[in-house]
Amino acid sequence: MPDEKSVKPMTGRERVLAALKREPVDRTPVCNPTSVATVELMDLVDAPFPDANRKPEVMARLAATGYTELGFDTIMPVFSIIQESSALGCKIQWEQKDNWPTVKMREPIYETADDIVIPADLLTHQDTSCVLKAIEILKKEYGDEVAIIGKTMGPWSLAYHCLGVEPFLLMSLDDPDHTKRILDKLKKVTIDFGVAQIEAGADGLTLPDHATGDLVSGEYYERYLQEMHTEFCDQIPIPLLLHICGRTVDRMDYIAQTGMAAFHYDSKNQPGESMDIVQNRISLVGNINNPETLFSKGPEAVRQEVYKNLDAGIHLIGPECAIPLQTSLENLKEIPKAVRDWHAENLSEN
Amino acid sequence: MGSTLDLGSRIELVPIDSHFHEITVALYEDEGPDGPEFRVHSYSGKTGTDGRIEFIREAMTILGGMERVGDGQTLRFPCGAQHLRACKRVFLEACKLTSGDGPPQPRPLAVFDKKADRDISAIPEGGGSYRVSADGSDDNTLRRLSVVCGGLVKLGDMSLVSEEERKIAFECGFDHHALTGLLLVRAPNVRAVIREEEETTSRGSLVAPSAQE
Repeated sequence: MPDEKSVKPMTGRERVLAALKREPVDRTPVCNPTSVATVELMDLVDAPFPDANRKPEVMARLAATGYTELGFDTIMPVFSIIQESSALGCKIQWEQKDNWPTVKMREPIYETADDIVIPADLLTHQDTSCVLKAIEILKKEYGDEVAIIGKTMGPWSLAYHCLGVEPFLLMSLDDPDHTKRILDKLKKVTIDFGVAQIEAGADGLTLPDHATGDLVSGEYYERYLQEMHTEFCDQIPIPLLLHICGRTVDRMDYIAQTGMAAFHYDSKNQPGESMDIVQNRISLVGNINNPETLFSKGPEAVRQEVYKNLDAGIHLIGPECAIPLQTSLENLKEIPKAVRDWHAENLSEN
Repeated sequence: MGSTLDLGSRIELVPIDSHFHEITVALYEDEGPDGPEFRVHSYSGKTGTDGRIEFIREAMTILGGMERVGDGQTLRFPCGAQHLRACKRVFLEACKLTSGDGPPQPRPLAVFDKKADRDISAIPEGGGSYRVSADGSDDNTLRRLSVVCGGLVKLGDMSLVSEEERKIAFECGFDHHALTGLLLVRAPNVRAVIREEEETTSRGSLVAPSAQE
């Protein structure tokens, strides 16, 4: 870990951007590449789901609480994973305040690569333009203080949404060439939406691509996605934070070679083993457990996981994935508090 | 800089109050000078929220036999014990009531059990003990009495003093008639209560597309 005593005090934005480049920081940043929205925060700023996923002012208002109330160094307004899929024409179950919108994947919109036509209104559709406008609002209001992180979904996730999980996975087994054609067509969505968010003012982008540890092997990642993810780093000129859920140590070496700025990693991977694999070729963000720790336990358990990550030298600390909407504020506020305390303790020891 | 409050540990949450503008209402626990104190809170700024919170608070005093502490914003059990599980149940039941119907009535220490086809009572025996009883002793009734005993133990964190006598007790050693009456309504079908709790808590967790049903 760099000696933070020699680093002048930084804003949250400076801290995050430095950590994404593995440069010295005054303290480890607290970063949420995915949502930290909760139902209580929705009440606090009168920004409930589903409006907070569809109206830019409401989206920005809820997202800002990650900084103003929780004390994170980032603001990430794209709570859901369905904005682009909605713009592509997928049917969406918008749900209520207490639940996430989902794509109705049992009603796929494509069957083959030939069906894929990226609509002309991809970036002006309500659910994509909402994100762009929210980023503009946040950049204007908080852009000097914290890093504004956007989100653009990867082609593997989009394929699940547009073709259905089972048909797409079966296709990946039976017809690799066709699978690659589909991914190749869908990557335009990832790039176009990503670039539009840069233009709107994003400082970095989360790129979730759900080649998750439970269904997709490391070998699959290497075969289908590594090259494409490398290409994204050229095509989307901004720090990218790849997000893949689950146990992913079998692909972290491949991921570390893509040029992504960071990998947002899951609590199914130990901080120490993950750091050993990536070898400072990519920053790691995470990996405070959601269901067992943030949702079900108390601040002391949260603190222990934060310390475990910091002890291992993890570059940015945050929840492993979008937190459950019922997570307590007490636990979320403990993350930045624990990071500050860890640094104070380690400075005083040195 | 923030406007969230340090209210102690949040121990229960109603994400959507269907009786008042879908606000979120939470129950917090903090340590008071004489033991645990509980606070009903909502971060909603909607007009009338304070009134709704006061209604829930008042309903908890009636339904759970809780008492107000200090400025009346927090509640405790008269015995000073935590009774965590029971307290959460009192809060959840209070949130199910509509403010417009006025303050609720305390529940009696007897409930009609459809499966036994008869009334089942919790008879106070002093010192926090209750004997679960019915006006009949056929096999089905005895089985139902055991079920109700088990339900009260689960919902109220009570202990089973005597299985044979169907005697249960609060470990604090104090009587809690209102609370026992409230729990008695749910005790015959405790599985449904647990299922409802699990369904509520499982909502709001984002799962990867590959894990969605």
